[in-house]
Order: sequence, then C-alpha cells, then structure tokens
Amino acid sequence: MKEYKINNEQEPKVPSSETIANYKNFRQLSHEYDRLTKKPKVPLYKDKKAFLVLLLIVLMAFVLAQIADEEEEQDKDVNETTTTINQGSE
Amino acid sequence: MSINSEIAKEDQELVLLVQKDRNAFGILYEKYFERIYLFIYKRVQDEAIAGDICQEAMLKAMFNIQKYENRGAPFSAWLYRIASNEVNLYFRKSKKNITVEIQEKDVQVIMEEISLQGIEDPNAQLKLVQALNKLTAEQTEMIDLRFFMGHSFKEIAEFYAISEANAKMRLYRILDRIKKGWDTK
Repeated sequence: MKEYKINNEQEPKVPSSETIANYKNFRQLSHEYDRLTKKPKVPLYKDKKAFLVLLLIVLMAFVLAQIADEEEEQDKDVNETTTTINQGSE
Repeated sequence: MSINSEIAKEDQELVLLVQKDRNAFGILYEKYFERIYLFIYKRVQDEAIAGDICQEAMLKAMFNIQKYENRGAPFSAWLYRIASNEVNLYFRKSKKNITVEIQEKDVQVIMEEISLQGIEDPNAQLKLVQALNKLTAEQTEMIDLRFFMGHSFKEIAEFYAISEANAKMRLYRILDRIKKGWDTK
C-alpha cells in the first residue's frame, strides 16, 4: 500500500548518474534472460539424477501393475472355485 | 524532420534489430536505463528498490519486445508503461505502508485545479492527502504522472496509448470524485 505525506522541509532528492550507474547491469539482465528462457543443455534421459527418477517411476509402475495382475488372477481363482463347489453341491 | 520523429525512427530501427537479434537489446538498455530508473525512483523514492524494479521492467521488456508493435506512440512510452505496471505491482504486493513524500506546492496545484478552499491551510492540505490515499493504484498513477512528475497531457496520452482528450477526461473524472467527496464532508 502506498501513502502520500507532505514534505515541507526539503526538496526531493534525485539520484546522481553515478548512483544510477551502480544499478545498471546488462550482463546480469542478459544472464537472467538466458536462465529463464534457455532449455537445459542435457536432455532429461542423459541427466543422471533425472534418469534415476524416471527409472524409479517406471519400476514402481511395473511393480504396481504386477500386483494388480496377481490380485486379478487370485480373484478369478476364487470365483472359479466357488462356481465348482456350487455346481458340486447341486 | 523534427528531433522527436528522428528519435522515434531510430528507436523503431533498433526495435526491429532487437527482434532479429536479442543481444541488441543492450543498446536500448543503455539508452533508456537512466530515464526509466528516474521515472521509477520518483514514484517509489528508494534507490535500491528503484534499481530492482528497473531491472525487472527491463527484463519484461526484453521478453515482450517480439510482440511490440508500432502504433504511433514513441517506443519509450511502451517502456514507461511496463515500468509503471511494475511499480503498481510493487505497491500492491507490499504488506507494509510505503510512504511517498510529496511537495506542498504540488498539493496546492491540485487544490487549485479543483477549486478547493484553503490552499494555504495545512489542515485542508492534509485532508486532500487523505483523499488521495483512498484512491486505487491506477488512479494515483494518473495523479503521479500529472501533478507529481509533471508530465504533459500529450505524454500521458502516449503513456496510456489513448487520445489527449481521453487522458484529460480520465484525470478530471478522478479529480471530480475527490471534489465530490470533499463537498459532502
């Protein structure tokens, strides 16, 4: 929030050209621009850390898929056994 | 050809150059940094903060220069608008109150402009300052440009990319609101 206040005592200060020059830095600006725009030089799959993370994700997905398959097969077996028992009792 | 149109032409050529090679932005940066810095400084009145905002505004200009289109207004007006938006953002984001000092004579000019009584009366001046403090960031931007930074209506019109008549209308609408609030109290 901005608030105005009357100043009767002194004339407003204006920074000198030397002071302003201290804040002028095109190299820093250019560097910041590059940092924000340029894509990472190393592709994701060639980056060691990123590769390990990707590998971990793929492994987790594989394990989860295996568990889901096993559970499905177990359910099938239970259903088949129940049907056989029911047919036998009839 | 007048000096202004020569500067405008030179700027347009530079913009075209930057649009092809972004490293050329350094020329525009060198040319306008000081002016943009002072513009920001007058509004925030803090050297370091003005420096940070100026770098941020220049970065935004560098990002958006590809989209810049010449619509008749000087290129500098486009830069000033980016800088002013950054200043407004800074005021809005700031959690604490930022005090901006203004001169008594500038307050008196506003009072005279809207025919208020007691131009010399400190209490009346304080009342006007309180009324100004209730305005939005966009409304105070207009007041800053005209009364505290001394820009002409032509410059304000270029800044907002509107006509001079429209700039006058916008300013007097804000002043009218202050006057109405003054009369009802």
